[in-house]
Amino acid sequence: MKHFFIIASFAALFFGCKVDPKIVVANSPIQEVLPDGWPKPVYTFSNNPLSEAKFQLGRALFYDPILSIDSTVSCASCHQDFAAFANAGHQLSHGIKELNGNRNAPPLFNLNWHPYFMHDGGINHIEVQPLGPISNTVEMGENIGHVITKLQRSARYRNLFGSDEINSQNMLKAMAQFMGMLYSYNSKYDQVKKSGAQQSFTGSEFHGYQLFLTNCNGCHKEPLFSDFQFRSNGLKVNPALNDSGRAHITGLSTDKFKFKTPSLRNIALTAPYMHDGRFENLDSVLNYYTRAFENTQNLDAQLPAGGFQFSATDKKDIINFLKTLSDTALINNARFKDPKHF
Amino acid sequence: MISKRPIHLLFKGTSLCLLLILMACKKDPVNTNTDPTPTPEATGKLNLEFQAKVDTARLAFNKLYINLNGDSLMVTKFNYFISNIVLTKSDNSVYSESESYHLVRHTSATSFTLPLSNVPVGNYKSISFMLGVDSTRNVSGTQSGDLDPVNVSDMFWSWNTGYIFLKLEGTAGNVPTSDKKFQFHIGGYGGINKTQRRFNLSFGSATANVKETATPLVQLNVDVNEVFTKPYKLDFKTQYNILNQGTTAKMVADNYADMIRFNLVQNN
Repeated sequence: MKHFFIIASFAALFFGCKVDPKIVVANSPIQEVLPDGWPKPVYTFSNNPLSEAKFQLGRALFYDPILSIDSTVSCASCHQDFAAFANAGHQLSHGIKELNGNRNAPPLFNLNWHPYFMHDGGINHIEVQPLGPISNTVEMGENIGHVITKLQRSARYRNLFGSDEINSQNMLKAMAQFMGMLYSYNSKYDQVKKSGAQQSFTGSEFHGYQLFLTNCNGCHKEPLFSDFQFRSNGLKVNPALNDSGRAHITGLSTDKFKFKTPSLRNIALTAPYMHDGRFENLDSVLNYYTRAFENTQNLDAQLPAGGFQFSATDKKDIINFLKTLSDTALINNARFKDPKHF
Repeated sequence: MISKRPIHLLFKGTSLCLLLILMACKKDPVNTNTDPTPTPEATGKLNLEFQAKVDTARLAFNKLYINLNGDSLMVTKFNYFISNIVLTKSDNSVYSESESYHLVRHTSATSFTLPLSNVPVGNYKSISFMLGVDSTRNVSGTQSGDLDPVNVSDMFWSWNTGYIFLKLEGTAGNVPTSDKKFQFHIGGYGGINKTQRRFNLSFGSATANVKETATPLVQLNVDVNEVFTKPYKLDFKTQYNILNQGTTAKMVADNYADMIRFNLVQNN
């Protein structure tokens, strides 16, 4: 633990000097984490015992474009470490052959608490999540059978799989280990909560937090900053995408235009925003929420029809609070970075 | 569904305690097992044949048929999952196959035989199985064998997790598109969208006699006509692309609920 702090403070020094952030921060062990006050996770690795070797295999796969049909797109193409594993500056995910998906790539962290995945919740288990992008024709355009064949032919992967057979179970479980280890619980907000001294927030952050608790916490519920429910926040449907959201999965008209509440952790790192990346920055998001909502189908009942009554200062304070949810321990952790660069 | 998993452990603990209490109270448990011999059972094999039909005729791919609704159609693909197979002996004891998940792919011969092994020796009078895959295996992450997406990638929805329980594709004259293609991809594992259907088929007066030295054949007829007709008459003018779970998929499931029937037993 002592080592952690020493290394962390060195790292902090380095970052202060704007050195390449690809610096070892901490050698976090491959083990489950349950921060104080958090609910029990959904995925507990009960059929997937954690190990350094499996984590490293998952990490190699995550960064390897071998998962795509023409070896141009890896998971990391749309899930970049420095953007809390979202896709910086891309409204929509960008796949093989310059094809665009129809949604904004979500960030990846604290995935063990997600009861389902994707903006529409269509994927029900972390282990089968990679099959979605792998087989999606505008993402990786591959076939899992062909991926396994390629891995079996690769000396690198024969070595990484070790004595385990190269098959879909071992591949997907290793990827679940890498994804599951992407914990985020070391933001300034977490430090402040842990110390119990809320005054270590700046005045603006503290005021923003109060406003958050009153207005946002109903859906973006602490400590994960999402309730993982499907809701419509009244966004106008983009006719070019015509995305019915959750209804695409359930076929229910009552689910039309609903999307999974995104976590607000690391939100300052994951622009652009909303399921289709329509808002470029947090100012636009806050401006959206302070205007009257259009009475769209299935508009969430928790939203005040006339919009939230935030002053310019309120909005600034909320954004300052949201910035305290950025977790450098996640984005700078060398263990989560492309293994080829280390 | 998954969110309930942590509670699981709690249940396990509780039921274990209950079990211990029950066992402690029960001095001389009545043996409900019809087969009290603890020695390893002698086993043999049983072949389960699925023969695709259109009414009474053998189904042939790419051949024109008129279905019971009067629609002309050709079938190009016909696959479905059979799972959770249970065989019942004449003395009512049962054999449940472990890891009982099989994809039936009707190919050009349109007959598909599942070889069942490790079947305890005995005379069997009926079979029960599920068309589809139980909800547990749809929500438990990565799977192997006939549930491994590597082997059945065309029978798995990667964007809306779950297996496609039945896939029937072809062309029909009434389909309003220029290519005339119809695609029925039927799935939905839980809640209101459940499309698994259980079949309980008696062998009538016959028994399938499994011996160490003899493998009986149980032949089942699978009538494609049933998919289109009863109780819901499907109209190709509107129902030609069923590619997700939901109301229409459930209607098709109710139609195929009696699609498979016992035909004959052949003891060899």
